[in-house]
Amino acid sequence: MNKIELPIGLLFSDTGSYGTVAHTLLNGARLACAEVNADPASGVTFEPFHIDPQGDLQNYAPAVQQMLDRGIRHICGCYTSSSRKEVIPLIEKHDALLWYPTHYEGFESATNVVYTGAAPNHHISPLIDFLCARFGHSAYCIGSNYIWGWESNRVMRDGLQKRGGEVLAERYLPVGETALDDIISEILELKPDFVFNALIGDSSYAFFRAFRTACIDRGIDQVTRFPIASCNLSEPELQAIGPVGADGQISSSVYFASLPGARNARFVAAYRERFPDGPAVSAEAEAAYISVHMLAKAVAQAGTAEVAAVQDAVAGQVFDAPQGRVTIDPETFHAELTPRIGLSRSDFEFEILVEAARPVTPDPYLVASATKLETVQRHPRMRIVS
Amino acid sequence: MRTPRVTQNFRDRTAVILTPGGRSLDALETTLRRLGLTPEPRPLTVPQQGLELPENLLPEQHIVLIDGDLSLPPVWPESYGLADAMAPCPTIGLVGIEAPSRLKALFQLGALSLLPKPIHSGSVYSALFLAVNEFSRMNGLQGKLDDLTERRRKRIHVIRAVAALMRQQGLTEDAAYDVLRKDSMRARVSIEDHCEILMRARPEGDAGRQLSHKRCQTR
Repeated sequence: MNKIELPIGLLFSDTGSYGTVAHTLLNGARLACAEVNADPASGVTFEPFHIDPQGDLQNYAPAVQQMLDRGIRHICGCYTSSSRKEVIPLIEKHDALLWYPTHYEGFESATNVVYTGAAPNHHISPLIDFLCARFGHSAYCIGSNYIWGWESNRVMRDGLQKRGGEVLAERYLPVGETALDDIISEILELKPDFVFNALIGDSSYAFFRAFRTACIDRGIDQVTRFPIASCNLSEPELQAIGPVGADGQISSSVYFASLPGARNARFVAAYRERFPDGPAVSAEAEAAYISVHMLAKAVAQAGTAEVAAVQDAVAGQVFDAPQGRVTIDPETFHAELTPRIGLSRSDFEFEILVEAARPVTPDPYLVASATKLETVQRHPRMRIVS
Repeated sequence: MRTPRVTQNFRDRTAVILTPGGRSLDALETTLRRLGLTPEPRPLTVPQQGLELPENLLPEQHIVLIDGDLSLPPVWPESYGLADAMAPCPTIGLVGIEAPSRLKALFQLGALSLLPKPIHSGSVYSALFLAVNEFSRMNGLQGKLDDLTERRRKRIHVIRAVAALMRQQGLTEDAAYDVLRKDSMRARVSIEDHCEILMRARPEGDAGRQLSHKRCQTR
């Protein structure tokens, strides 16, 4: 059988401020390339070409241009939304296809992008249900001061107010900020039922450590009294937090390395064998792995790597992924994924607490679940009339 | 005026697309469906003919997208009873030729946001967001304007009621006005309505006014 030789761009900042997570994305994509190339039945041979933009937004467009100049038309890459927005105009101009493998805040469905990470209805919506049922209706929201933090907290606020709950405070920190004393004092003073954390990278790790330490100093059991819930907490990040604060934290994700089943076991074993020095397997690694496998299947089905034909072929494409069956929704070109909620353990893995019965259709614009009008704080019962 | 709550989800609305026939609107229709709307293209059957604007658009149900390259009527049908440059529902202009005459035509029909052609999926949500929320804000302002116009029209009743009370009870202007204001608050109506009701119920209370009016005239 003649295989189609397909150059693929891998655009991941495995160095820089979010290097750990991006490194797992790169590893997941590389593992899938190797598996496809080794499979005699695959119909595709990948020629991966990696560029590391080092987490610097200015490096992304030149990197994509370099890939396009080499004739590459399929690029798997980007972690932050800002980097994705940076490259989409170039991708569209050259009619290439971006395979975006990261959970994100939604509100996008670009023509030349296939999204294999979780949409907001896969992570935030189930988390709100879980937190309200398990812990209560008052939240303290904290986030990094950019689109992920803003939009995650907006969805949390809307969801809570729809359920009669409230956000006691909403605070933002610059990306990379680790001075958290004021925030921690405020949480302890306001006594929310839970803390919703949309911090990223070093700020998030510092927060987990500092808040746990502050609770220990005051004789408070942080895990039960002030549970912290995140939509962007994965295994490599637990290791980055370290032994103080890594356990007992709640994470909403579509994949955890500890998922049972032979399919996931094979994936985890292959990943660890290929990348013994880490970073650990994560949801991001699995999403990048899905992206590359989906691309291989679509190219094989289309019989060509031509973008329009691959787009037609990937609509409705199904892949038996480590998390279970994954399908590309033909309407939105986002993936149908299975939401789960995990509780971190001291061995830097997650115990699965809740799992959806079946994969959930992506809803990037939260059309089905969001209220039509934005929610507002309760109005005072008296108002001044003239 | 209280700021209207922002609409952020447009599901179940119908997007009426007024467009020349035969032009591909795939990107627009696909994105509208993703956003939970039902696209309803209404291509012109005879492209050379001018566009006839529909008469059944509802503010809460419809969003209308009008192609500025069409020959557009200057106003909406009279049956809507609209003020100048107002539309019966949130209106978005599709801009092809970016010439002043085309933009003016869309502006006159109350377009509150614009989508440049060819349509890029990444711009559609923003255009809907602006059109729907700006429409709601304009409606609120129009309501306030109507209320103020009505109050101004009824101001004469307040003047008459103050004058009548001054004559009947020997009060100063301020004291008479204060009595009327408190009474209207107790009755939970505006002072203008209260005074109008008062004067209609007691036309004799206004009897002396004609006399003083004549006195003024004879001077």
